[in-house]
Amino acid sequence: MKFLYAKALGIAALALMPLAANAASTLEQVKQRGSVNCQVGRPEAGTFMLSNDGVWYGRDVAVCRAVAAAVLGDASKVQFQIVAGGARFTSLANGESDLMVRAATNTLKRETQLGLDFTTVNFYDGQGFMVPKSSGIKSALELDGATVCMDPGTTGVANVADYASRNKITIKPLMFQDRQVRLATYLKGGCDAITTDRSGLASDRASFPVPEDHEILPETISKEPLGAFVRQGDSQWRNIVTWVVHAMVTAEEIGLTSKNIDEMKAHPQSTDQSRFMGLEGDLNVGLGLSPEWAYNIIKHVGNYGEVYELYMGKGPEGGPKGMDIPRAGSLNASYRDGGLIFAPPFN
Amino acid sequence: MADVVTKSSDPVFTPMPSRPAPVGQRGVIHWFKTRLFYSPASTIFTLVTLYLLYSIAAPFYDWAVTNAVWEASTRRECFDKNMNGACWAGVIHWFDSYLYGRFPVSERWRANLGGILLILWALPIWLPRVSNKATVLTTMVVVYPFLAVFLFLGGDWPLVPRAFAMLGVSFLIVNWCSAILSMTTARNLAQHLGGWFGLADKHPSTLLYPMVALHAVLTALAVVVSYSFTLPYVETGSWGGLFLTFVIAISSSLFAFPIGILLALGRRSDMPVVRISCTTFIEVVRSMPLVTLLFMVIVLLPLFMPAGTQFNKLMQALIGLSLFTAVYLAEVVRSGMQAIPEGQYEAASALGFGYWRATYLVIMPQALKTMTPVLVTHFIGNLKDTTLVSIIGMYDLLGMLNVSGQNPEWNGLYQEPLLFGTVLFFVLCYFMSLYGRHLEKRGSGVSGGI
Repeated sequence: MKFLYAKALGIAALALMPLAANAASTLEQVKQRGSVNCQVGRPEAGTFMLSNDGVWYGRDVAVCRAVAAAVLGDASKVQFQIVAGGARFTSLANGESDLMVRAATNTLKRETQLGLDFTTVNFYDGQGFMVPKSSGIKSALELDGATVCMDPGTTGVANVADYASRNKITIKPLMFQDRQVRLATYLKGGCDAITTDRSGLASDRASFPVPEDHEILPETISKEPLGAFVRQGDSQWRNIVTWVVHAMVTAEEIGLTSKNIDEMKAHPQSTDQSRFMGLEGDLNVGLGLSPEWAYNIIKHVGNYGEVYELYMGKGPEGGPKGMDIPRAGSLNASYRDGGLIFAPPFN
Repeated sequence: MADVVTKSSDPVFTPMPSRPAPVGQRGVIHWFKTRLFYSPASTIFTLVTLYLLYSIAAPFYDWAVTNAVWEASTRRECFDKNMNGACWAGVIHWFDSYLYGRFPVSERWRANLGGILLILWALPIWLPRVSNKATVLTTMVVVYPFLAVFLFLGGDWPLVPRAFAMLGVSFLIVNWCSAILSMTTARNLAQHLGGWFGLADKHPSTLLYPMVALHAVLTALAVVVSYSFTLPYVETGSWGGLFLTFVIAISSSLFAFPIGILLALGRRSDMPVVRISCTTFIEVVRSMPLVTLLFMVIVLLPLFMPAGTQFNKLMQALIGLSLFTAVYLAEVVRSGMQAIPEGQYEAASALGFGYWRATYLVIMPQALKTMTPVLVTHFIGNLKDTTLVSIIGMYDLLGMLNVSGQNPEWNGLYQEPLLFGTVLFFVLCYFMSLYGRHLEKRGSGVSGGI
C-alpha cells in the first residue's frame, strides 16, 4: 500500500531501461561489491526500525539480510538505501539498488508498467478502519458520510473509493502525508476514522495514550500482498530473491530454526532437511549460489515464523518489543494453519 | 603665547549631581504606568495579552515540567506514570543517537575529537597579540578538512592523502607554537627560526624555508605514527544526527565561500563569456527551491551516469547545498564589492596593482568587512537548510528526531524530540547571531582578527 508514485519518474526510468541493461548480472555485481544494496522506505514500526545503537532491524530488513546471507554468507553485508518516494523506481531501474523491500503492494500496473518484477509475498496485509469506541460505530458500512484521515499517494485512497462505491456510501477523505499529523488530527476529532493497512492501524493504536478507547473495525477492504521488487530482465536474480523468502517459509514447514539448524545439520532428521541444507542434491546450481545458501539464511536470520515473532509478534525475550500482532488465524499463518504463507516444494 | 597656569586653589566648575526624578516619575510603578497601563485601551490590551500568554504558557508548563516523566524504558511506561506529561525519558534514551546518528558507538569519540580539534585550531584567532591569524584561518579552511575526514571516515589511506591529513597535525602544532611565541615574545615562530638560522637580514621570503622544513619533518613523523594504528572504516551512510548536521553545514559553507567569491567576480567581469555564464548560473540556481535542487542532484544525476554507478549521498547533498549557498553568497559578495567607492579601484591601479592583487589586497578586505552581518545571516540560514537532507534519506538531526518514534517501544514519540530539536537549533542560531552582532560592533571583518 505504501507506494507513492511519481509517474513522470517511472516513465523516465522506463525510457532509460536500455541504459541499465548492463553486461554483468546483478548476482555478479553483488558478489564483486561484497554487499547487497537494499532499498527500503521510511522508518516504520515493525518493518524498518533503527535501534538506539544504530542498527536497522525489522520485517523488511530481515529480507535484505536473508538475501545477503544467501548470496554472501554474511547477513550484515547489506547497504540500506533510504530512497525518497519519488526516486524509488529510478534507483532500482538504473541499478543503484539490487532489490526494493518497502512494504510495497504488488499490483498489475506496478509489475507491468514500471520496469519492475515482483518476487514473492513476505507479508499479507489489508486495509482497515479505526474509530474511537465512543462513536459507537461497529462496522465500516456505518461510515456513510464520515470524514476519514488517510495517507495520500498510496493505493489506500483508491481502495477507500472502491469500497465506498461498492457499498453505496460516501466517505470524505482527508489527506495527511505525515503520520504524526494524521494521528494528532484523528485524536483531536478532526476526522471520524483513520484508514491504513491493518498492521499500521495496530501500530497507530498502540501509540495512543489510551489504546483501549479505539477500535479497529472488522472489515478488511483490500488485498495488500507485500514483498520485494527487483529490476525487470534478470531472472536469475529474481529467482534468488524469490527463493530466499521461500526458503524461510520452507524451513518453518520442515522444522528448521536458527537455534536447531546446526544440530540438524550434523544429524538431519529427513531427506528434505538434508536437501534444504545442501547436504545432498543440487538445488543451489540453478541459482548460482553455494550449496549452503539456505542454511546460511536460517542460521543468520531465521525461518519465517521466527522473523514474524521477532518483529510483528511479541519480540525477542528480553529484547526490543515487537508489534504484538497475533499470527494465528491471520493470513500470515502457515497454510497448514489456514493461512496463506506457502512455499512451492524444495525439489 | 602666555602660559595658562591653573593653580590648584582656583575654583573649578563642578556641576551639582543631578537630582533623581520626582517620586511619581520613576521606579517600577512608573515603568508599568507609562508602558503598560497608560490609557484604558492599553490597560485592556495588556490584560488580554497577559491572559493569552498565561493560557498558553500554563498548560505548556504543566505538560513540559509538572507532569513530565523523566525515567521510563518505553513510551507506554511514560503513559502509565503520567498520561498528560511530556515523555522526556524518550529523548534521554535517544540522546546519543540524536547527536551521532548511526555512527558506531565504539567510534563516537572520533567525532568528538574532530570537533575538539576544530575548536583548538580556531582558538588562536580569538587570542590577543597573535600575529599568525591569517595562517591559522587559511589552514583551517584548506588543511583541517583532510584531518577531519581522516578521523571521521577511518579505514586504510594511501600515502599521499594520508600525508595531507597528517599535515593537519603538523599545522596544528606549529600554529599553536607560533601563537604562543608571538603572544609572549612578540615574534612568531618563523621569525624566531629565521633568527637562529641567521636569515633575519635576508629577504623576508627566506623565512619560509625553515618553516617548510619543520612541517616536512613533523608530517613525516605523524605519518609514521599514523601507520601504527588503523581506525575502523565508518561509511558516510552511517554518519548522522547533530554530527552530520555540523559536517554538512560547515563544509558546505566552506566550499560555498570560494565558489561564491569567484562567481561574484565573474559576474562583474569585463569578459562577456565569463560574465554571461556566471550570471546565468547564479540566476538559474537562485530561482530554484533548495528541495528541487537536492532532488535534482539525487534523482537526476544518477540517470545520466553509467548504470550501476555508486554515488555517495553525502557528496551529492554537499554539492547541492554548496552550489545553492554559493549563488546567494555571490550576490552578497557582489553587493559588498559595489559598496566600495570607485576611488579604491582607481587608487589600486594607480599604485600599479593588477586585477588579482587589487582584488585580494584592496577590494576584498574592505568588502568582506561590510558583508560580515549578511554573511553571518547566511551561515545561520545554511545551518537550518541542512535539515532538508532528511527528506533525501539522510539521518541528520531532524531525521533522527523523526526516527526515534518509529518502533514499538517509543511508538508515536515525536512532540518531545521535535521540541528538543527546536531548542537546540534556537541555541545554536542565537549564539551565531549574537556573535555576528559582536563582529558588527567591533567593525572588524573576517580578515582583521575575528
